[in-house]
Amino acid sequence: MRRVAAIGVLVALPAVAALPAAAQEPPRLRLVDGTRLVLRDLPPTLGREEIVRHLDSGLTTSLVFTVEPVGLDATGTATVQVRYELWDELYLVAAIDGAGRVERSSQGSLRELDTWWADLELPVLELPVPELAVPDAAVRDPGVPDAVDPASRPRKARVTLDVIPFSLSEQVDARRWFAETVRRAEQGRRDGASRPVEETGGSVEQVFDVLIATSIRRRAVISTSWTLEISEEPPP
Amino acid sequence: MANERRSRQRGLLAALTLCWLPLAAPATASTDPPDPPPPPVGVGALERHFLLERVLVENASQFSPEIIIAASLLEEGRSYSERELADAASRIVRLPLVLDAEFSLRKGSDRDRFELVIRIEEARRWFFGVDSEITRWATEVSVSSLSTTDWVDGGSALLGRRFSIGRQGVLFLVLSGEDGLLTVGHSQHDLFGRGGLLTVSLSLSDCGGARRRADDESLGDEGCQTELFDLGLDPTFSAWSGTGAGARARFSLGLPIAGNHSLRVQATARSSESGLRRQAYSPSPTRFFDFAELRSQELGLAWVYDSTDDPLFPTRGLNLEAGVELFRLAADLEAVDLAPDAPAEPGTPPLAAEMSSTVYGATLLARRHWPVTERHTVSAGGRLFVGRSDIEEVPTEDGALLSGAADTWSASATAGHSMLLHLSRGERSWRELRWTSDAELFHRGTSPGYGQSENPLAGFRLSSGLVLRTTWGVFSFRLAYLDAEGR
Repeated sequence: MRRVAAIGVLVALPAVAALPAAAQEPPRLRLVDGTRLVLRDLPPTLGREEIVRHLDSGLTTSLVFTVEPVGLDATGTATVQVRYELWDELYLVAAIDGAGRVERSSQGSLRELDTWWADLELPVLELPVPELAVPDAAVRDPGVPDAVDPASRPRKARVTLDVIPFSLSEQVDARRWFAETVRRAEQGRRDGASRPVEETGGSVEQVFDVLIATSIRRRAVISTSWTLEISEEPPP
Repeated sequence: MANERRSRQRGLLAALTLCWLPLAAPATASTDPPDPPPPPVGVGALERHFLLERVLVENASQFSPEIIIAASLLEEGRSYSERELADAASRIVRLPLVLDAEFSLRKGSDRDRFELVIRIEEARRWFFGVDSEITRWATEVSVSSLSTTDWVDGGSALLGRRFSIGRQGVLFLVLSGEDGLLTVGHSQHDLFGRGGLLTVSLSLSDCGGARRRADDESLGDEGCQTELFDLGLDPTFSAWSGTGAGARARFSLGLPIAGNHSLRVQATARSSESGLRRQAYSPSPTRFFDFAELRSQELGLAWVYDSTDDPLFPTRGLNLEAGVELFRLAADLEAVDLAPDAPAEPGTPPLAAEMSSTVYGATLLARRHWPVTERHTVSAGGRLFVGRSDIEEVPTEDGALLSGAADTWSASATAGHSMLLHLSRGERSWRELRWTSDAELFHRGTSPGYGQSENPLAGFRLSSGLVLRTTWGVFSFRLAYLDAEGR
């Protein structure tokens, strides 16, 4: 009965895990001039308590948008960097778009920073030139612009926002590698047939697993992602 | 026979369902998926230097502020860029028992002068773990008990305490298992100033005595610290369980070479004053061996390449190992027959022996992890060991004594899946809950096989379960199905 109950819990758990959690309000993604993907109406991320703590540290916090159009082998990245200048009591900001262009400014307060953020338009990706709808060049009328094949444009994109405090900029957790020396040395030559019994009565491997698990942790990057519809901006 | 086959099929179907059910579950909308690779600091847009008038440490209890500041290599009165401050933060995080170091600035005594505040998050002094695995064997076995069963329960609970010793040392004390496995150990970090790690530990256990009864229904109690030795050491595929005092000493040294490359040296010595040895697929339901003075030693040297992002729950990266290993096993064995009135067959040799065996060879291991989505990771890998085996007077339950030299091998191929169910971080705590599943094919044996039906041994193992990792410890619960047969 104990084993049946255990299996039942294990099977039922995905149903609980699948319950949707509250998601942050998404930004909007627009296709401008048929080729540029631009982010607008950015989510109110800067007001979150854990973000404010990093912003007020006096060191640079990076907010990185990554856009991956569905069905297209392309990725665009745009970054907003924020640093609070302690002596001038200003928020210095730099918006770096997908092409690497930098736009700098300063904001006098967190409220002004929120407003600037909400009004920000951030180009993230220049799409490849779309295919033409006219298959046969011989029937083209040179006086009429070629129509773009709507089927060639991406309709959706996966957008990720990562908030990275300054101290997490190192890519590698240098202690990870040697945690393996402690852990794998104990695994030794165990394979499927010997594993079921070697933990009986307590195992040294379990000791080292728990030691490592509680002395190393994943870096705390605040991250949110959405799948957004790409809306087209009408031509002027 | 037909019932046994249907039972195996039902068990296999149930295990397969458990393994692959997470793939069918919809991904939960979340605001906290796993960490992506961050961009480099100081893209240049807001770069500046900071003159540090003072460096202050907050929230440190296991380390003195002087140790934290010394580890950072920061000096008061000097200017640093943000990149240099980020490097300093990484150096502090490399200290044992430091989980995180948060930097922030305050105004100094004059314009453009600053105070740097380093807020430390330390690992908990106390830690504990619960590990439980229930394995359904396709065939009834005797591995942790003198009676046969097709359900084997494994796992234990542990409670531990760690102490910082100086700047780079950690002493740990752990009590685990139903029979009180006590482990005392010490880790010394940053050996030779080059990031090396030395760990030594001593584990003491007392498995009590085995109780035996004369009737067939209950043939005795299991010991503890049960181990199924490799077929090269014991070709009979036997489970060895301690029933008295035992000790295990362990030494591990890791030295970084460059980047993700390192060298590892490990050695283990184990002794047990008494115990039981039982063939897993025993031909005789009333016969087993008592052993005394069990001694085993292991020695290994390996090159390790590791680009994974986490030692316990990797979501990306590659792990490679290549090395050489040596194993030795020796014990004094004496047969115990619970049906002593049964007449001995003519010519049957006495079932007592002083056995010894040695295995040496080369090993290769590879495991790759791919993040399929933000929550799902798949992995694949394998392990291969080939070498030579020398055995002397290894007794079998049907009265034979095995001796000789043989080629020996152990090969396995694995595929795995991990699904992040929940990840949350608070001011001083975090929780990570994962559902992990694995499928493994294995084949091992010796050539010659010494006439043992379980040598070579081949089969597969399916397992699935939950693992919860928190600031305080690791809790895991797994179900497994194992089908291992002689070929």
